[in-house]
Order: sequence, then C-alpha cells, then structure tokens
Amino acid sequence: MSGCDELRGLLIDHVLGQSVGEEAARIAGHLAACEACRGEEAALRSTVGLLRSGPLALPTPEFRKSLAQRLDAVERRERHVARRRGRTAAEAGLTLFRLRLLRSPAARIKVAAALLPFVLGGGWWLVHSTRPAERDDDKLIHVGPPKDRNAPPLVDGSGGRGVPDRLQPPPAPPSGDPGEASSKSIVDQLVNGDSSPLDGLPVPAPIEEPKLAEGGSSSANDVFRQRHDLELPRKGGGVAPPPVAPVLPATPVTRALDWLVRTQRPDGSWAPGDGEPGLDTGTTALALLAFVSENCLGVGDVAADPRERAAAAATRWLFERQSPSDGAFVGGSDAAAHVFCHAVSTLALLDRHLRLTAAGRGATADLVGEHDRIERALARLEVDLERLVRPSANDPALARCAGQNAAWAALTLATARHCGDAFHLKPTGTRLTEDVLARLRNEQPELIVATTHAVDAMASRASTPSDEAWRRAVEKVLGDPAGIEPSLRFLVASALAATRRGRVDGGFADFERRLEKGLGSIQSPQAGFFDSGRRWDCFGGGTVYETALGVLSLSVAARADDFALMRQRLGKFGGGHTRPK
Amino acid sequence: MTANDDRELMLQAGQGAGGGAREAFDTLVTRWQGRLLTFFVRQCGDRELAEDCTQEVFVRLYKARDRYTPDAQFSTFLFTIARHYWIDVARSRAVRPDLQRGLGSDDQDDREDRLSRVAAADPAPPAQVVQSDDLERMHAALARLPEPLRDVVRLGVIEALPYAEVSAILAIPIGTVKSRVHAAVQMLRHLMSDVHATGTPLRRHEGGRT
Repeated sequence: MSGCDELRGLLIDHVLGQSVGEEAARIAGHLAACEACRGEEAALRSTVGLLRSGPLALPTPEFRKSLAQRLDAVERRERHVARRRGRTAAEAGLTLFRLRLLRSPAARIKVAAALLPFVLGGGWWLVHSTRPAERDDDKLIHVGPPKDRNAPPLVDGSGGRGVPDRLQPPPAPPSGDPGEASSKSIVDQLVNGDSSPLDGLPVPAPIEEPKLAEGGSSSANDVFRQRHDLELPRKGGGVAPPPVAPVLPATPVTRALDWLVRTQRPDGSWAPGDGEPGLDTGTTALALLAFVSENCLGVGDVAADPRERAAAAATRWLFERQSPSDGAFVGGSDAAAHVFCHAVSTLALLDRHLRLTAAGRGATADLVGEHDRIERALARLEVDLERLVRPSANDPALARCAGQNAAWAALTLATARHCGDAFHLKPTGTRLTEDVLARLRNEQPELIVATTHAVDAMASRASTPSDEAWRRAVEKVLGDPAGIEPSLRFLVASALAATRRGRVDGGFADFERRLEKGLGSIQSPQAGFFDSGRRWDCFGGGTVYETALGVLSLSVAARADDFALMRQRLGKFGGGHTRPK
Repeated sequence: MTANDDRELMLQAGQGAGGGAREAFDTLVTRWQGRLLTFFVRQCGDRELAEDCTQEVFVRLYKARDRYTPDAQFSTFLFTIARHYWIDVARSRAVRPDLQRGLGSDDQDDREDRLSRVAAADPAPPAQVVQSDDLERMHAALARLPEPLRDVVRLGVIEALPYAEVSAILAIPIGTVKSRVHAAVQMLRHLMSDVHATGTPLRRHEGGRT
C-alpha cells in the first residue's frame, strides 16, 4: 500500500507523458500489477481528456487577410527604419569627409575616385532593397486572382465605376505555342478522332510490372511515373525491395506536395478555404488523396520521409473523425457539405487501402480493421447517394451542390466496386449510381457526363456515345485548364486517362501538355501551391483544395496505370485476403 | 510537423522580410493559429477578443523574429508572448482572465451565450457535443482554481507542453510546476464532483419547476 501511495503522486506525470526512463518503467510495472492504481489512472485520464476536449477554434476568413496586411505594415516600417539608418550613416560619413579629408584639392580627387565604386554600389543596393517585395505575388492567402506580369493594363469596362480585380471576367484562354496543336484539333482527336476515348479501346492498355527506370526522361509525367514505379509496394510477402533513392528533380507535383506537408496542421489535418468554413474533413481528405496518388501511403519510412509522415497523420486524423455509429466522416456546416466530406474521405482511405492490399499487406491487423470501417463508410455513402435525388423535407440543404456530391460519391463507389472484390456492396448499387447520375444530368451536365465516362472506364464498359456535353467538358478543360472548376478538370482528365490508348496516345499527350502548362501558370514559383484566386459555387475552394486537385489532375495518367495494375492483382486474390473469415 | 521544423521555420523567418522569410512565417501561422486562438477563447470566452489577441501575438512574434534563438522551443517562445500579452489585456480591461466569469455566476443566459460562442468557433463532431455537460462542469471547476494553478493546467495539461517549457514560460522551477499540476488536478476532481452534485443539473431542475 505504501508503494501505491508513493506512485499515486507520480501518476499524473505518467498520464501527461512527462515521466521517462526508469520512473516510467516503474510506474508501468506497478500499474500492471495493481488494479486500484489502474482505476486511479483511468480516472486521471478521464479528467485530462475532459480538460483537453472541446472544439478547436478556427479563425474567420478575414483573420488571415487582416494579419497579412498588418505584417505588410510591419515590413514597410522595418524598411523605412532601415532606410533612415542608412541615410544617417551616410550623413555621418559625409560630415567626416568634409571635416578631415577635404583639406586639399588633390586629396579630394583621390578620395572621390576611391569612394566612387562604393557610392555606386551603395546606390544600387539602396534602390533594390527598397523595392516592394516580389513576394506580394506569392502569398499564402490570395485576396484576388494571381497577377499576370504579361497581362495588358486593366481596362475598366464598367463605365468608370471601378470593378475590383476579382469581379473581372476570366482572362482569355491561353493561345498556346504556334507549333502546338490547337484546342479544336485536340478535342476532335479526344472526342471524335482516331484516338477517341469513346471509339477506342475501353480497357486501358496492359501495364507492365513496375521496373526501376533508368532515368534520363525529361517529361514531368515520366518523372512522376518513375516515382510511382519505384515506390508502389510490391506483392509477395509485402516486403518491398530495398529502396533505391532516385535523384529526382523537383516537379510541379512534388513541389505542391511539399507545400502541403509544410501547411499541414499539427493534428494531421489541413485548414479549409475561406469559402466554406468547417470543411476540414473534405479538405484533409483531398490532400490525403493527393499523397496517396503519389503512393505516399503513410506506411513507409515515416521518420525520414515528411510526405509519408503527412499521409500517416492525415489518415489517422480522418479515421478519428469517423462516426462509430454509422461510419460517416462528419464535416462542413450542412447536409450537402457532410456528403462531400464523407465521399472524398471514403475515396482517399479506400484508394490507400486498395494500394496496400494490392501490395500484399491486406492481411495485417490494422488493414483488416480499416477494411471494416471503410466498408461501413461505403454502405453509408450508398444511402447518401440515394438521398441526393430524393431529399426529404428535413434535409433541404442536400439539393445544394448535388451534382458535385453525386460525382464524388459515384467515383468512390465505382472504385470500390471495380477494383477487385474486396468490398461487399449492394448488387443494386450500379443501377442506383446510373439513376442518380441520369437524374442530375441537367444540373451540371459537363460534370455528370465526365463522371459517367470515368465510372464507365473503371467498369471497363464502352461508354455512352459522344455527345455535346462531353465535348463541351473537354473543350472547357482544354480552353482554360487553370480557370476551370478543379473537380471538373480532375474528372474529365481522369476519364480521358483511363480510356487512352496505352501510354502513347497522341491526343492525350497534347491534353496533358496543355494541362501542365495551364496549371504551371497558377503554381506559386516559390511555395509550390496552386491557386487560381477564384472561388467556386460548391464548397468555395481554397488553396489546399486547389493544390490537392492540381496534384490529382497532373497525376491522372499515373493513377489510371496504378488502378489497372491494382485491378490485375486484386482480381486474383481480392477480398479473400482482406476480409476476416 | 515537428518542433524542430518550427524552429527552422522561425529561424528562416528571422532572416529578413518578404520572400522565403514571409513564406516560412505564414506556414507557422497556419500551423499554430487554431491552437493559439483556442488558447485565447478558453481564456476569455469572447471569440472576437480572442481573434484580436491571436493576431496581435502573431504580429509581435513577427516583430521579434530576429531575436529568436534556436535554444528555445518555438512553442515556449510563442506561449510566453501569448501569456504576457494576455496579462496586459486582462489588466487593461480589468477583466478576470478566464472564460468562467459567466459560468461561475448564476446568470444562466450569459453562460449559455458564452458557451454557444465557444462552440460556434468550430462545428464539433457529435461525439464532442455529447460531452458538453461535462465540459461545462469542467470549465466551472477550472474557473474556481487559484490563478497560479490555472496557469499550469492551461499550459501543462490542456496545451500538453512539457514541464520544462511550462517552467520557462511561467519562470518557476520545474519542481513547482510538477507540484502545482498535481495539486490542480486533485482540486479539479474535487470541484468537479462538487459542481456535479450542486451545479447545473439542480439549476435545470429548478428551472423546470418554475
């Protein structure tokens, strides 16, 4: 009992994780043997848990804008003070010059000649150091659209009323290089031409087993694919071959991922944009999906690789958000936002799970547990999908953004349904998805038709015939890849990537080049994030949203290849390895 | 992601203005804004005031960026500025530096208003909503602690800072931090049971009868 008395004084340190070494071991040993102290420890944990519980406050959208303005003011003040100090020093120097050195004309000439280079150099420094910081173009928080240095001067078309930048009509689509194929010819090729995804082979070309690339490829996409092939976990024992660290140049995708790593919150989530506060779950899920697309699954060398660490933390955070009762990933401020958060969270965790299962790691205890949680989330998603077209009187908000929500839900369910047989879904689900997409087609025709093509490609079905909406969707993406709604861009690109003719499809290659060029124009040259400065009708967007979907749009070809490879592997042993008997 | 990264970012921010320095500082703001804002919301219960305080602390941090040395943890540096600033604010406004002025009083409306404002800071998942009664009691109990004990609870327990950091922020020996944490938690548990027995449920019952 005296041992208990002594140790109880230390229990709170133990609960707070402050006891280390011998003391920690002594407490742990005592707890294992003493039921009374275990009860005391549980009570302390409950008290500490309660103290730490409660919502994490998030700043309002105006907070960052106003903070950025105040920091700008601090910088201006610092520059002003530095200039004054410089002038004072220069004045002091001149006084010295007059008093001591300029007593004879010959000395004046010699001293002047000696000082001339310094005076010129100092003047150059003063001019350059007092120029406004170039970083103004490159802030984390964009108040308006990114500035185009080559853009013509703003013309106020409103009769002198002064329309703010953000209300100006979107800039004309880039004209492209003279030698580059025109948008129309690419659209013709993609939609109607020889390499049409609609008339061509619906099944993606067989993908070879991953090989270590020799290097030497300069295309950004080849570099991405090398990373994929190097890092995609191998089937057979689940043990990857010793990693060969490739020296890869920074690409738009890696720079964007590194920005995501830097802006991840300590708890593993990402802050949503200012258009839809409270959308942490959806934003974090999209960011995780971007990492997963690059095969950063959070199970690699978490200690050494910050991207693996970011993926692991985001996965943990998302699972913590899952409701234990109905499997929903809760987020956002209304029912529509809940559906969006739930659909993209399920997709991100599902994609990660499938990749790990394809690598032969599905039988581990963690993955079996995750499998059941994802399966419950999928069942809940089917219910959500049905509610989208039959919103009850209690959920009028569900009609908001129903097209976009249906698109993400359909993509998620198709991924689960057509990548092996790892998940048990209702047999009627396929028909339900088709019905929902057909009903919502009038609301957002381009988005829905792109989703239909993407889902059909996953199901290896010949898609619906080419129609005007599909042509318009492809034209929109090609015309202004940087200014289009990021979800639509991703879905169109996914459908085209999944139905291209192997890896050498001329039309798709032109499409990819356009996409890379367009996204390059809205990528921060220093920080790496994508931000068009626009806000979207559904869920507002934001820098993390655009960056994640920028990565996903640039990775569609690699995703399609990975998907085909996973389907080959999971088709053979599929759910038998993941589902507990 | 880690404390070391924060230190590196702060050192980078201290290397000048604009460009990479500002980028590094923006990253730090993104990482810490939620935690700092929650810290102030818990202190004053006023969301607007908490946001002003958070912004002021970041501005002060930015002004002091070239004085940061890597031998101090970033969180120590940040919370030292935050705590000193809050003491100034509390003195100048002559308010008690805590959330629970309303919670400890009989003014039910005021209490609910404050709680709803705190809750409005971020839509909470349903699991957390269930705990709101316990949270109320805990806030009420916390408000009744003496200020020195409340300080160690906020930094050492709620913010989960290591004892060494709490010691540096509050300028007291580590041994004192430990003994205060121990005393504070014991007192909170007593107060919780006291509030549980005589607090909110009784008042609700009375309200139901009238």
